[in-house]
Amino acid sequence: MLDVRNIAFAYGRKSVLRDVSFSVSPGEVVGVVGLNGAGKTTLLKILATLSMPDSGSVLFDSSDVFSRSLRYRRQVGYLAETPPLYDDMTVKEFLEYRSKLKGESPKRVRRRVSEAMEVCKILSYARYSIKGLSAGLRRRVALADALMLRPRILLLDDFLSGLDLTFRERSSSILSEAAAFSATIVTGHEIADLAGCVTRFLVLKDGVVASSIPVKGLSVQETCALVKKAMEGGLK
Amino acid sequence: MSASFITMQRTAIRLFRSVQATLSVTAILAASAALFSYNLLSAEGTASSLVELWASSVAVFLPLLAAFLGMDVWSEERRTGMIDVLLSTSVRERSLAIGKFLGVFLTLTFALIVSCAVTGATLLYYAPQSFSEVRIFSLASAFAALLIQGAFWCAAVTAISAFFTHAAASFCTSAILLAALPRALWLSLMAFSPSGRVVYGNFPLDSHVEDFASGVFSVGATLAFLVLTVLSLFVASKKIASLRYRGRKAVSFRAMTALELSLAVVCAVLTALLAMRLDSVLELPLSPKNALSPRMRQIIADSDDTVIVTAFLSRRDSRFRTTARQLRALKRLADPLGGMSVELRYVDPKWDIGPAAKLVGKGAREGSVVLESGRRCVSIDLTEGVGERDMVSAMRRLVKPPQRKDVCWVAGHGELRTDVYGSWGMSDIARELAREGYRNVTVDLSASPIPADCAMMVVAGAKDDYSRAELGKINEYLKSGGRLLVMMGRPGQGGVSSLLPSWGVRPVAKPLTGAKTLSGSDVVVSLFADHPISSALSGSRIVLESPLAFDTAAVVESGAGSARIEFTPLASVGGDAVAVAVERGADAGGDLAIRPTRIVVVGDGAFVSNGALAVRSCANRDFLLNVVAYLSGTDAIGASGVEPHVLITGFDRHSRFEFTLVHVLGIPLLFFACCSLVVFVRRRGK
Repeated sequence: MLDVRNIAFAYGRKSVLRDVSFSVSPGEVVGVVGLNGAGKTTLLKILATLSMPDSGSVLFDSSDVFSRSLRYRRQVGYLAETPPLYDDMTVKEFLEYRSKLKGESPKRVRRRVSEAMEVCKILSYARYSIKGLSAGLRRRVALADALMLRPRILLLDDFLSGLDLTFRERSSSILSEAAAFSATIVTGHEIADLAGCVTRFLVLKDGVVASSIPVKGLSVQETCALVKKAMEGGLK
Repeated sequence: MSASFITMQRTAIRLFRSVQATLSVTAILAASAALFSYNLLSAEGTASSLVELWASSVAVFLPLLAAFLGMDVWSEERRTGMIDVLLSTSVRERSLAIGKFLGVFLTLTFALIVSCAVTGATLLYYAPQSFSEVRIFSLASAFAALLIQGAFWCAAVTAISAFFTHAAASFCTSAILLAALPRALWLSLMAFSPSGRVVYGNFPLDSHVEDFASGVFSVGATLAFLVLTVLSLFVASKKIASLRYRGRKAVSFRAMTALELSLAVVCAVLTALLAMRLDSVLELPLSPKNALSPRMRQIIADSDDTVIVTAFLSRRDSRFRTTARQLRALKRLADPLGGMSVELRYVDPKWDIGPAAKLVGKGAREGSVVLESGRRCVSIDLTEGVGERDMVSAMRRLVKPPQRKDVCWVAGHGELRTDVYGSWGMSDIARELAREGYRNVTVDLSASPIPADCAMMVVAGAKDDYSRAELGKINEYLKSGGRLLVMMGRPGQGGVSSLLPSWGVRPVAKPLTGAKTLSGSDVVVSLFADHPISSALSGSRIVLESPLAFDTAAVVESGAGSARIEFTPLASVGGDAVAVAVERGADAGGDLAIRPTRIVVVGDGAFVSNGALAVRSCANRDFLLNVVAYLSGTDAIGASGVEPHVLITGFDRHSRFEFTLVHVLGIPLLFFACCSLVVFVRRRGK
């Protein structure tokens, strides 16, 4: 469904991604991990069409996402690393605004917003001003925004960062529910927590996908050990 | 709902909720109100319109308001990173740019409506009589001009904001590029080419608003602004799209964008130039029905000549439009009067070579309005525009050939002189008299006698006393049916003041002040007696500075013998005569055919000086022309030549102060308090 082929990207002379290739099928939850500066956020920005790769291509349903980016973006839910929100709005206003902007019909907006708030457990904060929310709650609002229209591609950057323990436990079921209708790519450093959510890990190292580690059949400790080994370069 | 509409909604709501936007709108409201109040007070008694004054006051601050409102539409999104969230949504960059622009534009429109409503309401309360001249079409047209300009400012600010991550930097750049730079460039150009100011008129952006306010709807200017607006939005959307390109592809994208932008700029400039070049103008019927001065109406009604009025200038001349418009109005308004028949012609010196050669043969120059009736031909130079007075004077010369009469201006005692062109000179009124057919002669009584063919004498603001011999000459001249006009400022100080009591004119040492003028020293006189000089000026106003009052109960006991003396207070303020006329007929039982002596005394030595005439559009000039006509015995006495629609607010000093205070401070602060309260209550509710 989502096919990433030989992506390369550089900030000026500094090459971040050299040759990244992988595929994600519907129902799959892929965890992209790597050391700081490995290019996780850059990769997700490319997949969200926020940055154009220097070379390579990204195919969605066999068509290039950059040449038909508008159609592709309709299918994408994106959670940024540090999600910015409009501080002057309430949670509900923000989600309604985002829902409308994404093209949802006015009749369905309220239902979609309620569903997303229910999923992210922020219904009780609906009338709160975003300005007064904690970092974790802000992240949950941004997650609700990403999940809202049931996107077919879900890109969650640094997914678990800033979330409390209760919500982290719930995140597994959120991703499982999302996987029913989308191909999901999450990034983060909380490998143990992510291990419970993803179907496989992609380890980014030196601008390439160093390893692809399926989680199925492995315990959390084994997964963590494998991922750590891959990040240190000891696993091919 | 489209993405543009949703973005517009979001931008506008954010601005309406922000204290910063409220503060900026309040500041602009106060600043434009201050400028309007100043302009209104300065325009008292001139032919300015309220709509024009309001529109030009607001137009000055429009770029600044747009810069305030739009400074963070993109820069804030870029600073917080929200731009990534927006760009990851399935929305085109141009939709976002249009939405942002519309949001800012909507807020700016709201600010304009508030300014208009506030100004209207304040004026309606403090100066309701001035409101009678306001026409809804004129207001709508001026509003349209402001909106057209405002659209461009908003689009430009939206584009500029996309280049910055800091709102302050965006604001400074917008303010410099949109508000300061155009005016600075224009002033620099005019400094290098002062003649350009005559040809091109005022600052084009101001002229645009004034033209629209007076009903000249320029399609070219409108199209040019729209093209520039679209170009600005194109720049904004391209800049936003370029944010996706951060790596090596950014170089090729930027090169491509630069090429596209260059082509767009070339297309926009060519379209704007073409629009300006092929400018078609729609004239809205905004002119008042009776836009001719009473004097002009009198001349047209009294004559049955056919007058051919020719605009002798190129159609591409910037003055052509206003001149042609004025002439069309003249014809439209002259026809129903039933007297003079007016025919209009347009001669372009470059295309209508035959008629142009004929006009040149008659002494007319390119860039003039030529009036012809029979063999007579009068030309008005357009260098300083063609005003109502010029047309009145030219029409009068055309239909009533001048009767050469000498007006002798006495000199040598500190009088205002006809050959001085400064504020304290009389050159303007002397030129006016010359146009009316009089000959101005300067007389020094100490060295020469009064000329035998002197039709009348003028003593204008003498400072030094006349010698006995000089007074004797004047007295003898008067006794033999002479005519004298005295303009005197202070009682008993210089001039012929010692002579006047014997002719029944007694100045009173009573200071007169005007409650309706800023300084109080200017006194507005609107009460005229039923006298040949002043009866036609009924409804007009003359303005005198610290005028001298005259004893209206004057009784002539000496020096006049048994002659019949008629004493008439021509103009009065609160029961005090400030201008008087004295006529002494023949002695009882004497020859009735003897020319009667006539003296007119005006209690202001400089009421028709160049400075006084330049400052106000009042009937001083017409009053003097009537005085001269009366004294010299010509039949040129007429009504006021002042434009009929003069702005009169009726303010006295107290109401003026109150109006300024309320308009500049009170209402903007109230507006700010209300908006802040709404924002505060809303924030408390969350």
